Amino acid sequence: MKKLLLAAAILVLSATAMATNTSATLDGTVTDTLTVTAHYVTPIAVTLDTGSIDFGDVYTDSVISTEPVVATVTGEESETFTYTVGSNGSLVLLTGNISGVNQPLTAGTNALTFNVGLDAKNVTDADVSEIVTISVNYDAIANTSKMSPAEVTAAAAEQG
Amino acid sequence: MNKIIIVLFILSTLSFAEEGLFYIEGTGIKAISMSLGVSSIDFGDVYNDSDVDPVLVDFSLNAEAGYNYQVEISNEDSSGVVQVSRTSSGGYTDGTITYKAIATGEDEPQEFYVDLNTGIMTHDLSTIITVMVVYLEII
Repeated sequence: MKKLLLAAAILVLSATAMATNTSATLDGTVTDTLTVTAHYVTPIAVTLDTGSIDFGDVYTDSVISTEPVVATVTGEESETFTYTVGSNGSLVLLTGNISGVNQPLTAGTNALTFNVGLDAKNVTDADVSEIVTISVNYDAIANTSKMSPAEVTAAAAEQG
Repeated sequence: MNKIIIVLFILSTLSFAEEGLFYIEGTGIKAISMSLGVSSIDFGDVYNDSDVDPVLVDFSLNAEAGYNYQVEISNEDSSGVVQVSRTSSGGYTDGTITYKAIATGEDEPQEFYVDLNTGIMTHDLSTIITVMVVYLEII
């Protein structure tokens, strides 16, 4: 009986409790965030109302009337664009809206009209075959920028 | 019977007189600290297939030396436009980046890159990237 009591006492005294860590702080996650933004710009596009111009038979010093061509430009409203109209030869004469910079894009379509003529006095016995090309591009696209937490705070303070 | 009574008396007396001691043990582990060096990235004007340079996001992390931690970099964009990678040259994913490491106890500079898959852009972008750090085990 004594031995039993002694063993029980030793067992009680030697018991060790293991606590489970339920700390929300240490077990919790640490997070930080950043915002990512971008403005999607509608691609600029241009179409011509004329696919080909055939001046027919031409001889040197022919008097030839010019042919109007309308280029329709579409893109992001309020952006500006630059355009140029050119030929890959030397006999086509271009007048009208053949170049421009900082042209504002308005909502809907933006029409550019240029005239295509022929330098008949320089036409010789060779046939004429030239390609007229119009190119358009945005003047500027806003670049990437990033802000640190301190800069964000300063900007917020500046805005009041 | 008398013997039993005497034994119980002695035990009862001893139990009133004894002192109990126990020890509390615990290892102090500092909480993880982490902050991003970048709060916002504005990629400006972007159109389909724009060439956009990846943007570096650096952050500092400090955790108890010898303890494992996990970093998770995720974003809320479901369109797949926003992509992240731990290197600027490749390995970009529109999903979540997860990696593990052992803390040194010192400030550990880390970084990742944010890029855009402009080929599938159809509208303005506004999303949030979240970096989460957590200890992998607490004993």
